[in-house]
Amino acid sequence: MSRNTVWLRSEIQTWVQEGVIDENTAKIIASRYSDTHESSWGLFLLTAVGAIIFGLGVILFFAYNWADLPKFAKLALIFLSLLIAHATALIIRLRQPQNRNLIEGFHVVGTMLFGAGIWLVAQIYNIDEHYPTAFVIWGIGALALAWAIPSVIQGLIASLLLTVWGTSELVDFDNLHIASAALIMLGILPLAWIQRSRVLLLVALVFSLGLLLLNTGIYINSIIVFYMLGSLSMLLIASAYVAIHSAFPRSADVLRSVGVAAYGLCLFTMTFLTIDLYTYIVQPTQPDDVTLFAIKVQWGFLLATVLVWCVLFFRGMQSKKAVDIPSTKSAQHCLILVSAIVLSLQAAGLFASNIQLLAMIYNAILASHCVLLIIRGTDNLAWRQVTIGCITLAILVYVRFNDLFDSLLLRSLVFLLIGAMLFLIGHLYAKRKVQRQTDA
Amino acid sequence: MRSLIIALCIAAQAAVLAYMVFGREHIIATGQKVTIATAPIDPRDPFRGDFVRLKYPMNSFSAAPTRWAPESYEPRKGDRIYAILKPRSSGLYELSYFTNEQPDGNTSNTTVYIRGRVQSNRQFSGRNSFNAKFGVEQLYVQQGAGIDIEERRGIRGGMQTAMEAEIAIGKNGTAVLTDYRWSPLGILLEVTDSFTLVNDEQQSNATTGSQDTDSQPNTDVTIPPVKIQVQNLSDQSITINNPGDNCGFRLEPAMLSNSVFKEAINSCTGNTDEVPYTLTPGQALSIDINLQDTRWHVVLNNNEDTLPGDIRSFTQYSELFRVVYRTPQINEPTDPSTPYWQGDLVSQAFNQQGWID
Repeated sequence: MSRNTVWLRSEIQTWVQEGVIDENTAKIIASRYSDTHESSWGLFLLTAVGAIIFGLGVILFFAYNWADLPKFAKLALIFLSLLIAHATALIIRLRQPQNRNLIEGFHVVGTMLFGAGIWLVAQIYNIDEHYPTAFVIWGIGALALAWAIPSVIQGLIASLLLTVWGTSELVDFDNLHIASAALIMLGILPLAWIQRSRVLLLVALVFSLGLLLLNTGIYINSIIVFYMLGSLSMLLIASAYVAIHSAFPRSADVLRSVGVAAYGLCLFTMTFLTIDLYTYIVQPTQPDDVTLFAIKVQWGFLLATVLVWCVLFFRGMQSKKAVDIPSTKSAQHCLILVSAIVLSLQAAGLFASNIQLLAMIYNAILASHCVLLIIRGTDNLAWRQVTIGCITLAILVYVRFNDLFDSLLLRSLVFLLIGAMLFLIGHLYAKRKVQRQTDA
Repeated sequence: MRSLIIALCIAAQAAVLAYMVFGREHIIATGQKVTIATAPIDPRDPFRGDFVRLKYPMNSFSAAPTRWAPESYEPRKGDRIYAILKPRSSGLYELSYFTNEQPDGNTSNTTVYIRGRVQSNRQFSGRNSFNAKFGVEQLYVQQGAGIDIEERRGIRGGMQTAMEAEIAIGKNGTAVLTDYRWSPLGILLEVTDSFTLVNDEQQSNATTGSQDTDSQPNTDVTIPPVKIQVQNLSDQSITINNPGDNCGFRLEPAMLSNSVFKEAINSCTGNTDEVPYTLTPGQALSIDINLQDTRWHVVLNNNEDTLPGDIRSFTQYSELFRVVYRTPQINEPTDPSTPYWQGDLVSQAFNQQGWID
């Protein structure tokens, strides 16, 4: 049982004893926050890792004795070990269904032996074919079990295998490969949602988006990838606000984290814009059919991003029922909207004659985000927000050291300012903490 | 119900493995059996784990003509490709041509096709280049055995023993490597210290057709630039047919179908004599290759104006060459009690500067 659940259970008991809530309400609250896989994640992970290592040990044992075994003995070993592992899991499921970790563990061993079986059969028959095929077969085997059991760990294995499949097809064989990303999006993201698994959601999201962008960048055009990454990141942040009100509210954390990370990366990259570098981010002027289609998709994303953030921003400003959003957050929403608009105008080539202005805008946006994050973090005593804001701001100033500030006087002033600001932030944070404790 | 679904997924996993096994077993049981000589491969290739890399003539597009449909077709990585094989009197199958269209099924006893995929469409002559792969390029052996195989196949400067792969081919051209055997004869190439380059005058005379014999490379004729040694590695006596001026042996470009050179007409052209030479177990036959002799001269493929010359005089072209023993075109020996060994012996490749590949 997780620490949060233990605390809640004890608090519920106290509330019942003090007459704050009745027994019925206590049961409702307790069932709402029952333990899931994620709350026993440590034990689950231990079982899964143990199963994987055990499976590898079995494989090594086969390998040690491999040369002395006749062919059909080898095949029998492969099939028997696969069936025994899965059958054991099935038997435990029927007799002790509450022993989920053990069931999952044996199924993981079975899946690992399935993969080993593919490679071992290839070894027996000296098969030297298109090796990515082995990964997709293995991955689909894991995916099928992920849905059948259902199992988060099988989903994670499937995500990894399908990603290896897509990446090897793309990098090793120069094949445009959307199928792998599509399979993860259609096969694993829904599973993550149904299982309410943030880890699986994070992994599937990162892998599928990564594959899509990799395909587009390598096979079509890297500039289009950049615009798509920027707009997708902002859309992910927006989707977090929708997810909060969905059946899986905790998915908002994942969506927001991935979105913010990608958004921050894009912003940071654009702060380095110079006249020389701008030529590398201009849209292709005479695109072929595939590139043209990709450009249209890119514009679809950009316009959707602007539209979505217009709605979010203005709806947030006007709604009276909205949760009391801190003004810093509203300001950050405004900055994201501005980013979306600027990115779109940039893609349209409207900043071609004024690159320095564009770079300054991105620098200002990023610096503003940092400052707002620091303020909100200080206000809410959220040390992570304060830390991220301070570090990002410091990095931004550091990298701008050479290219924006020619004058030594200016440089020293900026450093003095930043140093003083960080000192002040630390002081304000400590003061706020004391004030909060006093109020409590 | 859920347990049933899980059981079905497990059955599907087992079924996939079973499909792999039975598919291959079916080919081994019913497919056409062929034996193909492997080509030399760079021993510096790291073999992962316990397998040995194999290379065949059909792995390089330069080894045989291509019959693409349409003619303008350009092989692209990942494309399906077919290598047509024909049998030789030795029992080995050799590459006839490449095509991108699937032939009719492997029903003929005279020709078979093997299915593969394009790896690259660049023309290579090096050992480690693969234009196409056919699924039989790796052989899994027990731990430690790979090194022994590599050594027996021949390292740089060592005795080359051809490994002959036994392959079963299914009706759709899918191949399964089932076994291997070793050629009973090995061939050793040696480039001696007397291998010298030619100067510009000698090069010019070679391409313009000067009759000046003084233009030939000035070498010490007592030590030939290249030596070949053929050794009987088996435990039985072997008789080869080597008529005339070592006419069983030829100097061939490594990129046979794409070379700018071809063998010049010499004393061996049209020679159908029989000169049996028996090698007892362990015995070796040594042959001196005096490149300046007209017997070993080459001529440019598409330029009738050039005279035949020593390969070293054509330094404007950079190619690799091999000394090859091919069974002369006499299948019935005069003495049937000592049949001739049938097969090919291929030496390591060397270039016009004397560097061994």
